[in-house]
Amino acid sequence: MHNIQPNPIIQSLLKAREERWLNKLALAKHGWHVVSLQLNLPGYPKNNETTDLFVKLIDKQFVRFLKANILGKYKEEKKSFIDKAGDCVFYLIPAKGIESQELKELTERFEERHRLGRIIDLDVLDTKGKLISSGKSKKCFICDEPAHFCRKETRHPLEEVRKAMLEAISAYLEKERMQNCIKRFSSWAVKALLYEVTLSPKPGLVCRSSTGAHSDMDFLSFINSISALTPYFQELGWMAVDMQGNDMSQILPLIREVGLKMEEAMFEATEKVNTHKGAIFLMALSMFSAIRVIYKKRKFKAGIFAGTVQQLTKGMIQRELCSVEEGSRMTHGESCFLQFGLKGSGARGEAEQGLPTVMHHAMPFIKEAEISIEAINDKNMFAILAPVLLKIMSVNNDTNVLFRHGEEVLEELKKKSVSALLEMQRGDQMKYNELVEWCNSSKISPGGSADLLSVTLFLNFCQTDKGL
Amino acid sequence: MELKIKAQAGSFESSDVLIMVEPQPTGVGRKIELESIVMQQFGDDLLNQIHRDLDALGIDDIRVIINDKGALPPTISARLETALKRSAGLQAGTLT
Repeated sequence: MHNIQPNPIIQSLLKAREERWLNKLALAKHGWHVVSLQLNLPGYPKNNETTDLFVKLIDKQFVRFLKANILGKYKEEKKSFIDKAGDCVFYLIPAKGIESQELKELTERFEERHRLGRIIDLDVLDTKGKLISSGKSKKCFICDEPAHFCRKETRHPLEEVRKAMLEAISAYLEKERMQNCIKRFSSWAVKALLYEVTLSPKPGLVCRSSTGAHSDMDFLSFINSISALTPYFQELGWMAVDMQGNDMSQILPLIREVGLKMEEAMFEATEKVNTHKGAIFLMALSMFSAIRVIYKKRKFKAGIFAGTVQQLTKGMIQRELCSVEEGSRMTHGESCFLQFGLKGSGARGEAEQGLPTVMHHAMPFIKEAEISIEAINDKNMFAILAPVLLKIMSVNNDTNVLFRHGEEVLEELKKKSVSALLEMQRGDQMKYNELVEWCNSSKISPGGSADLLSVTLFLNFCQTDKGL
Repeated sequence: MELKIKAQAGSFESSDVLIMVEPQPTGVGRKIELESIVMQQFGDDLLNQIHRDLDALGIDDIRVIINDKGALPPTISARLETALKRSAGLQAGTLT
């Protein structure tokens, strides 16, 4: 024979394609319409790690699309495989449920509205083994001409097309990954705030069963406020992804702008009651930093997270607190710093020092006590979280307390927290109950510690992230 | 190469071609039926290629049905060759 047989790679590709085709025909004979998903990727190899992930993702999207459009007629019958012709999924749709033409229209709609639809190839084979065609041709990935002309005429070097496609796929996967991360992490930010307020009873703090030391806010004020804050966590997450360069010191005003929007939303939701001002500051920084870490390092790391918070707020105390002059328009934080110095630097100080109360006290405490934050349920929540709150209260120079009650009361609160924690660890809740009573009746509300509990919870949730 | 039976090779996958060959009595000549998604632009090229390949193999009496989904020339030649070998019983494969 003369040598018209192509090289072994192409031969194995042709063999794989033929086998695919025969498999499809066999399936079609069993009363299925066979929809096949594959990629139009020129060159070799036909698949790699990136395309494998991409096809897995498209598969998920397409199954969702099928379910949404032909509700109940698609029973999730499918076959996924990888051969020399690349990644492939066959979807088996009962022929009784839908006309093949309608199915073809659906697959075309999916391709058309997908950002990378030109790379995705969805074919429909009816039960007679006939390939359903709409007569439309796909556009080239590089120019807008029909793709098969460009391919036949080799208008673009194969390597150029392949590179452009693989790059587009990688970018798409990365965007998708960050989108999912941001959704997960913002749900955890909200969960952290919800858990904090739910923990009951708490000394002086609003909780499920009591308004603590407060008369102007209750459990629902917190629920209302947290609900109002919810959408902004995603905004902060995208900010961390979109941030250009690595200069963290420039980004603070942008985070602050979102923080101010959150404050406005809070005041609107609570009829002007401050339920979360400190929490907004810390949680906004935390959300931004957590996503920044996952974006840069691909995996959450608590140490880098705390370092990011520190970088973001570097010089903040100097700039914002040291230069404040005594006057009537000071915020509590400013006034507290003026009176008590670094001890009164509050949430700003905590942030600028890289969250020491959380990182050096709460987190090690959780680790040593082998507390599993993920295992919290309604029954064990108190037993798990009350000690963590006490641990934070025993070391935190809470400016909420310092500002309203002075240094002596703060020190007494810290001391009482230490002994309540010790007693609790011995199984006795008496001291804790006394502390709750004392705070409630003396109107002492350690809101700063509550905020740090939220950050601690958030951090714990983040640490469970698998970075998918 | 002596063709014995009807045979086919290839697929309806994008960028591929499905080729069916059928032996014909001596003297009948070549009957080539071609369908392609790039018929207008590349139909003649495709037909010429098939003739060249058949010339090379010395096959004069044959029916060839080609359904092209935008395959490139090397693919077309490879598919044709496989179909012919299958028809001649030189290679295992699919029959219709």
